[in-house]
Formats: sequence, C-alpha cells, structure tokens
Amino acid sequence: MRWLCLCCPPEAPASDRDALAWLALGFTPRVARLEDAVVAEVSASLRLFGGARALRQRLQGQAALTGLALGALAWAPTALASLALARCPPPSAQGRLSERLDALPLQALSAAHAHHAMLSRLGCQRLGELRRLPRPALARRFGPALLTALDQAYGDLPEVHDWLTLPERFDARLELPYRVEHAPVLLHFAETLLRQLCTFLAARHAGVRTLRLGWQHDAMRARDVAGSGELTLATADTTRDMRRLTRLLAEHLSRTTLAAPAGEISLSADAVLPLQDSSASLLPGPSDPQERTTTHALLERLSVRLGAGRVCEGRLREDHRLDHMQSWQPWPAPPTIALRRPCGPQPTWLVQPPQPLRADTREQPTCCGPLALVSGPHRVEAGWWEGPGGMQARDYFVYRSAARGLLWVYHERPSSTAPAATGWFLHGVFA
Amino acid sequence: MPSIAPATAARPPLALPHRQLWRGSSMGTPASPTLSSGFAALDAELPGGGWPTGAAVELLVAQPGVLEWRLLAPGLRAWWAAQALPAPSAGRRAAPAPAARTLLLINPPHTPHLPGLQALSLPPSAFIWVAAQTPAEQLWAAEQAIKSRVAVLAWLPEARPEQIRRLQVGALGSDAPVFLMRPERAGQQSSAAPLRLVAKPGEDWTLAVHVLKRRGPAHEGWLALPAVPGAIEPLLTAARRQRPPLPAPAPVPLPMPVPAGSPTERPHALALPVLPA
Repeated sequence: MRWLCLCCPPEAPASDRDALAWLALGFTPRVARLEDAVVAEVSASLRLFGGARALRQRLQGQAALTGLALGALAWAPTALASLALARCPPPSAQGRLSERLDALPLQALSAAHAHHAMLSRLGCQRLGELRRLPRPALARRFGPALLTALDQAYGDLPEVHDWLTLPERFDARLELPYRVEHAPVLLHFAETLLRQLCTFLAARHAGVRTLRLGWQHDAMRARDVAGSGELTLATADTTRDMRRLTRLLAEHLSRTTLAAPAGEISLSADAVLPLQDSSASLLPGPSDPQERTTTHALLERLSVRLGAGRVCEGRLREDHRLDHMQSWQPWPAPPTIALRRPCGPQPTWLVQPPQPLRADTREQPTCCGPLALVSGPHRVEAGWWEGPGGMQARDYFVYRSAARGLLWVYHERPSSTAPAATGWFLHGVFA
Repeated sequence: MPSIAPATAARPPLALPHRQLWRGSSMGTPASPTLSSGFAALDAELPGGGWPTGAAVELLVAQPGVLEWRLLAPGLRAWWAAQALPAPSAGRRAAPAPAARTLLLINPPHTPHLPGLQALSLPPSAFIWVAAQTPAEQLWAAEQAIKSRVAVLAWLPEARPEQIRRLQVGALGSDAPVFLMRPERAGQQSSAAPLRLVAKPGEDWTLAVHVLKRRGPAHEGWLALPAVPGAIEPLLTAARRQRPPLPAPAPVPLPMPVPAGSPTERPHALALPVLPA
C-alpha cells in the first residue's frame, strides 16, 4: 500500500479541497478525505505513471496548471501515517515507518493531539513515548479511540475509508472579490470555475456539451433589473478541453452586457456525457483525431462572433428545382439523406435571387455583352405539389459570356397555374 | 611561396543544404509537401510541382465567381482523396467513411451550389459557408481558420498587403491548402504570399494562367490550361469543343451595367468613347 497525503495550504478555501480530491481521482479511484487532507492510495497506479516520483511531479504539474495551491505532501504505507508525516515532516525521510513515526510530536496525530495537555504532563512528547505506555491503562484513561488511531497509523490495525465518489452533476459557485460591471471581466473568475470543471470531468472520464454560467446581481441594482442572469454555452461535440471552453466563453462574454454589477458567479453542467479518450498515435497522419475537434472549436467561435446564421452548412435535398436542391442551415445542421443526384448539368455557383437579364433585339439574353448559346433548353417543371407559389416551369440554357464565363440562364415558361414573370434570369454560374 | 590557387582547391566545396540555397534561375523546393493541381502544364511551372501547403496562394481574378472551381477543383479533389486514403486500415467491419476535412468558403461571391460541387467529386458535407460581411470579419475568420489548420478559400477584395502577410505567417503552420482570391488590381501591390497567380478565361475552353510570383525564375507568358466545366463536358459536340462559338464583340456596346474599373474593357473604351444618343 502506498498512500499519498495531499494537504491544502491552511488559508485555502474549502472548495480547493474538492478540487484537490478531484485532481487525485484522476490518478487513482481510491481517494478519501481524512480530516482536513485528501489521501489517495496509489499502489495500483504507480506503474502506469512511471513510479512515485513521476506521479508526484505530474500531480504537482497538473495542480499548477489548474491554479490549485498545493500544501504539504507525504508518502506512507498507511493513510494516517501519511497524514502525520505531512503535518510534521520528520528530520529524515529514511528508515522504517515505526522509527519515523516514533520521532513525531503528538500534534501529528489528531487523536493524540486531543489529549495533548494531559499527555505532556505525563512527560509524553512524542508518538514513540506514547506507544510505550501500558496499553490497558491508556485505553482506560483516554478511551479506545486513541489506541485505535495509533495502531492504524502504525499499520497494526486495518483502516476503513469512505471512498470518494463524484456527484452526478457539476455545480460550483464563486463569490467575486469585487463587483464586476463588465461581462468580459467575468472571464477571469470563470476560468477558476472552468478549471474545477475540467478536473471534475477528467476524474469522471467525461465531457460536456452544454454549460451554464450564471451570475447574481448585487443588492444595489436598479429596481427593474432581475436578480440574476445566465449564459448557455453549447459545443458541437463532447469536450473537456479547458482552452476551447475558455475561448468559447470569452466570445460569449464579449457579446454580453451585464444589466447590473455582478457579485457572484456560478458554473453548472447538468448533462455529463461519457467521453472516450483517443489513444495517441505513433505516426502523425492525416487521420488526426484532434483535427475534428479543432475544426469544431473554430466553427463555434466563428458562429458566436459572426452570428449563427452566418456560418452555414449545406445539406442536399432531392428536388429538381435549382433553389430547392440544397439548403444552407446554421452550423451544425442535422444530417439529411439525399441519395439520388439531380439530373442535368449543375452549376457550381447559384445566383440568389435570380438576376434579371436584358434581352436584345432578337429576344436573346445579354449579360455584360452578348451571350452565345452552348446548350439547352433543359426543361425543369416541378413543385406543383406546393401550390402555385412553388410551381416552377422553366427552360434552362447554358450561355457563354466573354467576361462572366458560363452562365445558367432560364426563361420562365407560361404555365397554366401561375402568371409567370417573363424575361430571362441568370440563376447560376459554371465556375 | 604559397599561392592562392592550391589553398582554394584544398578547401571543401561550399556545403549548404540545398533548401537554403538555390539559384535564381532554378525552381525552389518548398519545405512542405505540395498538392498536384491536376494540370500538368501548371504543375511544371509551380515550385515543388503543385499547390503548396503551409503557404497562402493568391489567385488574382478580374471578376470573382467565374473560374475558381475549374482551376481549383482538381487539386482539392486530390487533397481530399489523400486525406481519406490511410483511413480504411481497420477494415474488418465496414466502418462509416470518415468525415472529410472541412473547407471554409469565406465571403464567396455567390451562393455555393452543392449539387454542382458534388458533380465535381467534391464532398458536399465538407463545405462551410462563412458569410462575413465587413473586411475585418473576413480577415478575422480567415486567420482563425488558418490557425486551426482548416482549408480555406477566401475572397478578400479589400485586403491590404500587411494583412496578407499576417495570413501568410499563420499559414506557415498549416497543412491544409489556403487560397486567397483577390482582385486583379492587387497584382500591382507587393504581397507576402509566396505564390501568386493571375487567372482569366482563355480561348477554346481554356483558362489562361500567369504565375506572377513564385520561388523561382520569373514566368513568361500565359499558360493555357484545358478546363471544360465538368457539367458542360457531356453537352459539347466535337465541333463546339474545338472552336467555341464566342460571340463577336458588338460594334457599339449597349448601355449595360459594366463593372466600374474593369481592366479588360479599358482599351476598347478608349478606342470608342460611348456617346449617349
């Protein structure tokens, strides 16, 4: 058994202890809270992380990355002993556990610290001296708890722990040190919460698709302002990438105005979805698993900054009418199934709405000069099922222009159902 | 008495990696892999034998939306094919085809028509249309996309040289093709893009392409690339293919909306000043 005890600095807030426990859960499933510290049993994970030293360095690195202050740290074969060693570092880290524990003062063990005054009057200053006292008398005088704790620390009695489990949903709040009036300033504080979220998600091997950042306005707000506001972030795929979430949140916040100064923010993730970690590839190849997520992250940022309707994804539809063959929808668009391709030549650009063309004396269309007929007519007559408005009866022609290239020009045919607009229209370009 | 000649003869010849030093008369070799453009005549004129990756390519066209897909579709098709090639290794189950890498169309001149692009064997699901309106938004979107290593086709009518330089610096870290479409008058400005081409529709169903700037000797003359639009090819009879019926220029141009400042019209307009009747 290898126990690692992680202590928070004494002045750290209580939420840091949660974050520390979640951080430890990324290394081993056996994590427990012990008094004011977090203990983790890592013997099963040592080989994976390359030994105790590598694991410790990695943990410290991750803590530094998430901005978590890490206090004392100690290794021992039992949880209580690791806590005692973390509290009172012994002069030498070498030697057997019992020798190292014997040298510790009584404050190292909470059960002994409770009787510190009495024990010191007995002339007992160190754990070793306490252990040499007669056990039956000790049990009678101080109760069985002291002996049990002492035996558990020395490994003579088994320890029982309530293993830590993570909640189903993430919900964290942070009181701001000052009133924030501008939404982009909130980002700095929201990053702290995002870091906690990412640690939480890493421990659960999960990701999120939706996040909610809420803020509470303080009591000094105007009367007609609601007490709180919130912002919802949505990602295209499940993620726990801190950088991506931060940038997305920054885009959202730069477009938000606070109705009143905010005094507290909260971050919550209701749906925590399983996220499969992709294994690293030895050979960097085109099938880069990261490529998809960076593209999604890019498109999310673009849609937030430019507006959702400006970043569009096209979907094919089965139709014969040129302007119904495809639909451009805000990204991400739901997939559609269009198996049959439209027949006839299809231009690569669509001129929308169709541009009316002048006709010359021979009733031929002109566009920046005379046009030469290449092919046609290609007759399209469809859409009767949509009523008179959707009905199209057109003859399409391919015309060639010296300046504009190959054009897809149509002429409306007089149909019985709708009074057609006469004349020539440019509807596409074969670029 | 020591002479100079034996000393220079004894010195080893100047050994420099060939990528750092090349003669001005020979073609440079790009550091990143290139992408065949699909036109043998054009490949022969491009350094590395194709479109570069990790660099911005400038395409100067007199009018946007006339020839882009004809020129770029073969290269893009090859790019997508190369991306999809190594994927079907775990071939026990018929896995769904991996999604093609995204191509961003930033500020295109018209609505892209997906059935037409699909007919050119381009994957319709890979296109994302970014309708950025202001020049600042277009440049921002292009820069973000290039930094995320996404393929970009951007129409930038008002970009300035320092902005193009910024895009080019970003493109150095990308492995996807980056094409910037700019108006023809931008050819008079300097540009940081290592490859610049002028393209216009040519005679006989060809595209006339002139390499304005490349890492190599200056390009003389115009290349005539055979490029019949894929959708039109089955409709052409053999006679039409050889001698396309281009309309004879009208003796008196009709008063029609000619785009202002179109350089192709200038000599004609000077020769025959249009007098309103």
